[in-house]
Amino acid sequence: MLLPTTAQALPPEETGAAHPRASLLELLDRPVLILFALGWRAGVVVTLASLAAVAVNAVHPMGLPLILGDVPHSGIPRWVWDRVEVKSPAQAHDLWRQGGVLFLDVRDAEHYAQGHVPGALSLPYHEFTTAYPRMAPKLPGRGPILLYCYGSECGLAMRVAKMLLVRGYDNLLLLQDGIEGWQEARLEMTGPAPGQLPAAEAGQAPPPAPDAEAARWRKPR
Amino acid sequence: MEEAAVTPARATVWAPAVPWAALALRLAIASVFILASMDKIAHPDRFADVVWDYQILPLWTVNAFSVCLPWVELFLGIFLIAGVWVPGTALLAAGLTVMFIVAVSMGLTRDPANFHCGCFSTLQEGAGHGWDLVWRDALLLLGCLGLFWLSYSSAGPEGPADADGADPGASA
Repeated sequence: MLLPTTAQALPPEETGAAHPRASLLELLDRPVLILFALGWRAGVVVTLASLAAVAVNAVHPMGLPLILGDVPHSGIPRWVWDRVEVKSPAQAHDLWRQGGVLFLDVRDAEHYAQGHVPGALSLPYHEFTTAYPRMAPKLPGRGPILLYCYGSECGLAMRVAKMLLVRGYDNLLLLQDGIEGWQEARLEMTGPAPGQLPAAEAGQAPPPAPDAEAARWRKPR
Repeated sequence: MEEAAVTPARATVWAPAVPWAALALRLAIASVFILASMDKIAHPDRFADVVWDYQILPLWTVNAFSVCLPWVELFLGIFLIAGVWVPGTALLAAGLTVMFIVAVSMGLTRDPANFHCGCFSTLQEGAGHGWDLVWRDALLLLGCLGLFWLSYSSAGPEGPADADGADPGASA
């Protein structure tokens, strides 16, 4: 019954209907009882929804592991994690010396400009949609591409790896501990980009590494 | 007591509008929640990224929360459209909206420049909204509480399903 009749619209005391109208004051009189009566219905809605969610997640192509297990980042489907190979800084350095591996820096452009792995290209996660079309011709479709971001708990490289895998790229590698691990191993780094004075020469305090932006992507726990 | 405070004449004047107001609120709130759920259901991985960026939930809960929340929104919308258990569902909607207001406020306070709501779209391009998101959610909360008040006061916890004429669109 979509349309109300006059009789339906009128309060029951005027139509002669027998059902009692609930009062909001009753809610204050018996809050536990009433809230339980409301709560279990809400609970049923949440339970049904969660069951549907788990069922669909199991067959969704980008379905997520509900228990993380050995996948260290949220938002990463199991198959994505399985197809990305993690390399230690030493292993990554060997690959860098041998050549043939494209290094991809997914940090923000300003951090890339302050220093990066020599030869690495910049594809900032936060500008992925706009930056990807002009970067795509430079990316080898069959890889290998080694991605890195700020530190060990930065998930941006995995997010970019996920987006590249969805776009058909393969043979993706991940630098363990990110640029922090590379720096801690005292491996080669470029300085500031041409035309940009080092911070000390420009009379500024050197940029903190990692700075507040990098800390944003670090797990607080 | 509440009934006695309203004069019969006044009650008669407003009575015909109450079912229509409840129906309008139900459909409006249901539309918002169903629309909000669509992109999140289609892209659970991207929504999980958004949820993690709020930096509120512990890592181990993010995936499960991101998978389930959009479906709760969808079911909530379906129950509201069907007119089933409206008071309880409206209260659930109000609770979710309070959660959204708290989360968005925390996100905006922490990093307004890079804040991404993820309310209707999981794409990062949707970033850039400010405190208008909170006002929008506050309006939604008002609607949810209004619907709860209309449906509960006319029919109790069961909602209009067991009270003839309390809500014109109630089907169950």
